[in-house]
Amino acid sequence: MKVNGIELIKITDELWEIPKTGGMLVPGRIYATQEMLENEIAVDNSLWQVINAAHLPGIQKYSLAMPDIHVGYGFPIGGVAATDAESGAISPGGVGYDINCGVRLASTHLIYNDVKDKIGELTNNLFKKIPTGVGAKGAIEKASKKDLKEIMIKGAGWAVENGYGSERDLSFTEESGRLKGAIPDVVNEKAVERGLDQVGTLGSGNHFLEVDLVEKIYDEEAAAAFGLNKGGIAVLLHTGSRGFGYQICDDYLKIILRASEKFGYNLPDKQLACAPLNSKEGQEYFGAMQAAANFAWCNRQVIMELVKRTFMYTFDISENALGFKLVYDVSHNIAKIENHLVDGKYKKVCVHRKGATRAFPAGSSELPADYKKSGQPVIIPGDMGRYSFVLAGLQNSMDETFGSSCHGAGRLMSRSKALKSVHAKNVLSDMKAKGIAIQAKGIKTLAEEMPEAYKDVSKVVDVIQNAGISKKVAKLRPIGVIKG
Amino acid sequence: MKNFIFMDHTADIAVELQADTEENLFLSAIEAYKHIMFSGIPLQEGDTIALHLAENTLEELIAAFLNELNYMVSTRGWAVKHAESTRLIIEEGIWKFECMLVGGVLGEEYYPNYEIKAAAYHDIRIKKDNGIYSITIIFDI
Repeated sequence: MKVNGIELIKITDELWEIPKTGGMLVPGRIYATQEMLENEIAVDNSLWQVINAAHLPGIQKYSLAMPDIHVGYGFPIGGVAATDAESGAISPGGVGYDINCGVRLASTHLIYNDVKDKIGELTNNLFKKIPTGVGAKGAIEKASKKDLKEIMIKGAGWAVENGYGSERDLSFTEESGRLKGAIPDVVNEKAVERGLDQVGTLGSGNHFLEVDLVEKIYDEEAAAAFGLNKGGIAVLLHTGSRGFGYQICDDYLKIILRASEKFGYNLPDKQLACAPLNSKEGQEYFGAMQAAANFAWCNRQVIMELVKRTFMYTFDISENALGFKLVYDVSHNIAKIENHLVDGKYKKVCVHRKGATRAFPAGSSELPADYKKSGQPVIIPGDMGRYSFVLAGLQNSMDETFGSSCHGAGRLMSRSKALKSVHAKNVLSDMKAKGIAIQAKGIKTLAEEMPEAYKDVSKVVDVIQNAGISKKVAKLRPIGVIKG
Repeated sequence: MKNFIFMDHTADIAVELQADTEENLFLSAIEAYKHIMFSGIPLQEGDTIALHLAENTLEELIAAFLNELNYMVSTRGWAVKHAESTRLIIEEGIWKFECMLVGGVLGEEYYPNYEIKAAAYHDIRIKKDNGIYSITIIFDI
């Protein structure tokens, strides 16, 4: 089959291969149905970006794409590429501007009947308490540079030390909420300036906070391990490293561009610029990226604690009665050193996940004891009007995708088209008609983020399940939404 | 000739800047940035900021210029209204741009329309057609 002039060989109904040609070092592999390839993925250049990513020095096995693939900068969003950690390259384009953008899910003891009469009030209170939208100042009142330096190193641990959450939260966060190789000294002052005011801020655009109803359980045992019960109330948070991470990416893109030229890399896209991981430039980017990742984990930890306090205040209940518990926190824009099987042997690789989520299976040493049997929770946000999913990682993810899964729905419609569509005027009333309480900084943002602007995440998740990469555990339906 | 035209982009904001000279592309960049960020917001012009930038290519210089404008907004709430005394030169293979930015801090009751992460380097290329210079910039939002 050909899509956009690219030859695709069918491996299974959900897996297609782009043969290695020209300067590609490995083949490309895309997880998608034929219908998705022809009708959704074909609308942009993302398949060409899979080919481009296959040129990365030291790339192992395949240039991978998840079913939510769409065009990014250099790498496609939904792309996964692992490079040899000893001799391969690292690329800021394989991580993205929003370093460690990710999602966090918490469960509660509350059920729908406990909240239904106060969901409007809860949503309003959350909107007041969580700094949201452009220009919002952080929950941590102007963090000092000393604080920021500690956040860069300690990540979510800094937040716990300062009264935001508990030690348990760290066990239920990917990498325990911090990457150990952060190097604050290689972070530019401009990034520090952008980050000082933003610790504990949600941001805007597609970042959100949701109060969700656990609508359906697919796997009772895994759901029980995750603490999710049908009819229960959960909270889903989507945000990242804010201006701190964006600036680090921008600063290092320029440095790595020069490095690409210096090392003689001839890459098909400027934004794929890379440097050997073991070069000065590569190590400094990696150190700065880890600092940004740690900022993002701290950010999500702070916000989640504020959410918990808002629940307690709104419903006038104790912490025990609320039972607010972190299910898991995963990143979907990151590069990490992991051990994976390549040609029958374990090898250290630098896994770039850009719009892709780690999905480790049962038995993985990186998981807390509670999840050793179920596998890692993989949290997949949809859009604000329909549903999100909680999956569990399966062994096939380790065999085929360097332990990676999809990350979300992906946009279907540009912002300008969304604003012009018939749904734009009625987005607020449409949401209310669905029983969703909503608070947003602006009606324009809301219209741009309307459900119709996004793909149907259930299709994405079905492909991932059918491919054996992750399995469905629960479906969440939004009942309260905050957007910046 | 318009200063800028919006292009359709699924996830972010893409804009084609146009100008009769390479130097004027920077003025077009300001107009496009203002339109995206500050439409409907009254802008001050009480302050001036001297700006000196240097990059290896003109494309990178324009992206760096926009990222500098963005940095000022995100850290100080300082919004550009226009630029004066602009000068674009190429010296020993390095492109340099300097100007005096005129603008001011946004009023407390105003916030920019978007939070721009950065002007991306994706597919960034200056073209010249019928005497008009153009470059497409994508703002990652």
